[in-house]
Amino acid sequence: MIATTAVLLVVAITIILGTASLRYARTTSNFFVASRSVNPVWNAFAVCGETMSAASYLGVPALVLVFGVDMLWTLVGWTIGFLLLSLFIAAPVRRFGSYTIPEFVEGRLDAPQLRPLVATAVIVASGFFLLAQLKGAGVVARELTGAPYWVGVVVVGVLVAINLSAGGMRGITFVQGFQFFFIVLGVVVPFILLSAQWTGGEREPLNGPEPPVFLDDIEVSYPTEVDIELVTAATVEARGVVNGDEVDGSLSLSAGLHTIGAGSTLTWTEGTPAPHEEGIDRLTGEEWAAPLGAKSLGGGHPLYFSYAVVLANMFGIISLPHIVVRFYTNPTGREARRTNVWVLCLLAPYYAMLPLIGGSARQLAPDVLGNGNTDSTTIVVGQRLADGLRGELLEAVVSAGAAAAFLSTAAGLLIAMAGALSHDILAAGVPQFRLSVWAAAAVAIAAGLAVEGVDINVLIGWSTSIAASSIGPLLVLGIWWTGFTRRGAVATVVIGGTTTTLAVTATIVGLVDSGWPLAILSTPAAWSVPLAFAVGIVVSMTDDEKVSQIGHKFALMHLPERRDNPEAAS
Amino acid sequence: MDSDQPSNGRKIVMHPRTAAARRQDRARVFGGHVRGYTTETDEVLDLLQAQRRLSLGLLAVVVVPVFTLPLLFRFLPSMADITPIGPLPLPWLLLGPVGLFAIVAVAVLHGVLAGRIEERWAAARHKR
Repeated sequence: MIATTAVLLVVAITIILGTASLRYARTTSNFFVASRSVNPVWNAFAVCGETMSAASYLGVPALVLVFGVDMLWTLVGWTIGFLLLSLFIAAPVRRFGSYTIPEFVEGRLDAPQLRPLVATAVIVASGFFLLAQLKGAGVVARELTGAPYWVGVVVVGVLVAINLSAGGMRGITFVQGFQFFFIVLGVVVPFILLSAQWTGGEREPLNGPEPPVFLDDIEVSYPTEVDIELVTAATVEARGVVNGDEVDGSLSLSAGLHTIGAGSTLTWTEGTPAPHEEGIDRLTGEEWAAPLGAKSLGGGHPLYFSYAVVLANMFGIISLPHIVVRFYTNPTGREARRTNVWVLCLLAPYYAMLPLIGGSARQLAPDVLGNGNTDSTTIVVGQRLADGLRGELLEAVVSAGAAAAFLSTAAGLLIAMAGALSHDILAAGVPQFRLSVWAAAAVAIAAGLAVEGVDINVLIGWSTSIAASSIGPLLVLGIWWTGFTRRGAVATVVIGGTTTTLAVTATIVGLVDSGWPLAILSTPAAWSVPLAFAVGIVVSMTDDEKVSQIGHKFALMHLPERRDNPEAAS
Repeated sequence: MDSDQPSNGRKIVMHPRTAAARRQDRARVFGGHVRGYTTETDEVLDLLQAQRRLSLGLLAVVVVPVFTLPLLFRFLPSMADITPIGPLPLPWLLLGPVGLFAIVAVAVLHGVLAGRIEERWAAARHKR
């Protein structure tokens, strides 16, 4: 009850602040780049609000719970990605002064043909990412209120569309800054309580010789149909459908595979080894805590997987349009750089806290490994950290954080998609921007309803890989290499984008299912990013048609604002 | 570009930061000059190269150790048993707090050094 109230509070603040900015939001510049007048620290809050998404808030603890320390490479990759933004992207991209990434690419390369191509890459990458947020919203709403999955999806999609069509970038910057505080609270509070439990000796070490067991009798609900694997025979109190038979009462399950129907509830007894969903490896504490311990990662090649994950995520961050676009809202390049340093200072502690939540779930919530709902890890840990009123308050804090995480990220993604659609493909202004917001939101909601059975991290992995091997190399080469030409850029986007998309598609349709082929196709960034760079460089070098006025363009990107010049204050 | 002053005789009042940001946007369109500097290609490229050297150098400082780590984990699996500070084993420390804050430190350093390169470049232009 308290949790629902807290979520509604976040929603109310979002609507009020978002629509309040309707008064101020008129011009195109307002809508796309908040008139480039955002304070650097507030912009950092907004960037963080946008970055702290379902992928980190729910996804990382779930991955750590299932796979262990190897999943920290994701966090390392993201953090290096933000460093790359500082080193290579933030200041020059702001100084060039466009509204969207496709517009920047067109301006830098004199290539109007490239604009719709890049806009398509932006929409596809942001779209997959948005699906992940909507899926997260559906899961959390179900976990909290028992509402059907579609409720969360539709509510978040519609809310964000209302906000954006009212206030555009300006309104959303304001809102995201506030949402950031809720997200932080949702991680810091459980972190403090968990740290106290671990350092107070209340809990056993996690690197023991056994896979997780239930520490108490536990009632587990199964929201979707799932195949679970038991290592020992067990007797449970069951209500629902097990192996196709209606049951209500005591039930003996043999070791082996069992199918639990959607909506069933099973009560397991203390000491039972936690059943794992089919396909999730049963790791002992030792394997879980040691690097390269999750043998199935990357199709059985965890070493390759480590590299692939770092590369995909570091290039993913500099390629994700909703993050890059935020730097357009700073007044100057120098301030864009300052914003990004602030972002890193705020994000690193948050990233450092997340693994503790996932690790603690090995003892607090091992049932999540077997109910087909690993994405709920963060919420379930919050629910079980304390009893009574404290427990309810804690659940409220964690749920409010989750709601803020989807809302802020979904808003950023929708703005990137609507911007690309209205500004780059339709070449139009504010009314079309509003229409694009609703169109993109409608498509995303429809698709969001269809991805209930897909893991959030899989969706995020696809969009990150596609963006990382098309948009990322385009930005880095365009900003730092005078020899980069239009043909080189086309080759980069086409080769990088299509090879990744093909690899992702091959994985989805199940063309490969094990070993090196699976490793290479399911985590394509390790080869597709270097490939995209190489193709761009080789094609540009063989291209005779160089970009005109290169000195002027590089001056725009790299020359500092004058401090002594009243024309360029602050 | 924005139309700042409406034609109906009203006047727009704005925060100094907004005003500066808009001037900044407009200042760049005058041909041959960017932010009050002339845009001779050689001088622009000097700045570009200095910044690129800095960025690539700092990137190497981070990427070389980070990319060595998986190999260390592979060939020295006993690292997983070392707990140098507190209860966390070494790999969790390196991929968690220690590694992440080291990366932040590099970003802070870059902010300072990149700003310094810009100031030095601008000062050299003023002397002439």
